[in-house]
Amino acid sequence: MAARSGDLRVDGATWNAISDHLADEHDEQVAALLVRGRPKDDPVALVVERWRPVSDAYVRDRIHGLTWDGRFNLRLAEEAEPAGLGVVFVHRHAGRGTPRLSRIDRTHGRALMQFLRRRCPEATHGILVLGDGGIAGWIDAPNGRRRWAEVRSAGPPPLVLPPREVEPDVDLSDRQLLAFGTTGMDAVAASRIGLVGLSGGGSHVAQQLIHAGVGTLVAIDAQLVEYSNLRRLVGARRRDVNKTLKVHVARRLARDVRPGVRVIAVPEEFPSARSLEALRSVDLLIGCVDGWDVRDDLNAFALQHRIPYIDIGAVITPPTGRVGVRISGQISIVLPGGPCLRCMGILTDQRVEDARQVRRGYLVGEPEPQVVSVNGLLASEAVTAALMLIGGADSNAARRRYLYPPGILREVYASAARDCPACGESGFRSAKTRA
Amino acid sequence: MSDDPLSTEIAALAVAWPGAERLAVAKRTLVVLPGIRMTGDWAPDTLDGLVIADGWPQNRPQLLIDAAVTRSGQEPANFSRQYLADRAWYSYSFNAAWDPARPQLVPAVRAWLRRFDGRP
Repeated sequence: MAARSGDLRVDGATWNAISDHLADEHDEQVAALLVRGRPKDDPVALVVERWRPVSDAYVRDRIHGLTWDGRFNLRLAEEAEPAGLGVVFVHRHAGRGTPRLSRIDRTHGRALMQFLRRRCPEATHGILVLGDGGIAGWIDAPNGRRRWAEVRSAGPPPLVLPPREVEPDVDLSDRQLLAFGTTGMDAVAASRIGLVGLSGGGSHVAQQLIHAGVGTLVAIDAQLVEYSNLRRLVGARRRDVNKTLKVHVARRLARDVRPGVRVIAVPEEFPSARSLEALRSVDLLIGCVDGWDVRDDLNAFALQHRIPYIDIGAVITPPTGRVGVRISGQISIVLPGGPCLRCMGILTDQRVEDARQVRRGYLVGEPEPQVVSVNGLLASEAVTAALMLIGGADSNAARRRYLYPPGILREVYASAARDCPACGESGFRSAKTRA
Repeated sequence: MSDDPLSTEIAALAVAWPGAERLAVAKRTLVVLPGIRMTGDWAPDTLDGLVIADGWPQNRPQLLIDAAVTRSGQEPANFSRQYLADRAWYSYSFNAAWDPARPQLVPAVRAWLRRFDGRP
């Protein structure tokens, strides 16, 4: 049985600041990360809420390994305990390859963990050493010690430490290689993408991600293929009707086109417990769902776990009188730290509550028009954004709106709102079970 | 013991359902009730509940449970899923009068549970 493990997740701006602090060429530096995570999960995902540098005012000795005044630890514990947070001490070792813990790292680390275990017994703490090619240290959870599996940041630039090993799948005549280069192709091949909703838009997204060669696709959809889906669900066949799950259409496509792509099919609706478990380990999430309530849940989940989230949706208005068909669509990219779908005005309390009332049977919901080409257009934009995020593009428009006629896609200004109930200072990402 | 009426109500929930925990979430009043027993042959028969008491006592509290229940393999007609506090919760339609002048939470939860006594 594999040893239990854990990941560290951090948003790009926070990670860049921590990296700058640790990169001091002259003096060893240490940062204390205040983290949130559920010890019973395996792997446990430790999300960095905030961090504190061990400032010079507290440093006692740099010659025999960095040591600092115990008052710093006391202040940390006083900050962490009421918020239900744990503490991870992180520092960097120079040199290539995987770092090794020094004797002082082990001795000091054990003492720090004992102190934190007494002061914050329910939280998960750790010692983390970063190297250029890997990580070392351990996680000290209430239910036992664990090893570090990965440190991840959505960036920009995106970071995965240690780098994931990928099967070489390089054809030098591959035109995608010409676009992304070997590094970008490896990043795509190592990526884990979550996709919620595999009907109209989602089936296009799945198809393109499989062709592009992502490493793992976590596909969430509870529904069987229906006859009416054949007009827009790419990959579905007549004999699939009422027999084949939509997630299995994607798995079949991967087998036929690119067997190296692992499709984890979860035939349940988001947010079931199993879907949440499967999605916690993804690097990026794409939502192709109808309901505002499900979008709201995906938005909250992505913020909670510091996972970039791409949402697509379209509204098609049938012709009336002398006015022809009108199409309005959007592609929105929620990066850790926001702006989120609520800041962008896409999600409102009223829309979310109305959608919940429909599901509970208090309001009547009507099927909305869909057209395969509109789904494909927005899905292509979503996949392009996903590949750029994975490949390390330095900027992405948070929100773009598609309008037909005349058939234009334009950027819509969006910024994070401090009082946003989802990603603002009082947002739900601070949730922690406490007595 | 707090004199705050809401804290008193939450303490009463912890007496009725030992292990009840209030979640530390800004601007929300959420209480997890572990080990709720369902009557009437529902499966699973033991599950966790989540009391949402935002706007209490003016607003009626809601109770969500952490599993989709079935009886004889059949799900209740109308329900929705919701992601809260990093867990999946299920909300079932329930009509009941709420009197802010008698806002006790324990009877409200018990009344909600009785919704499952008679019908799928």
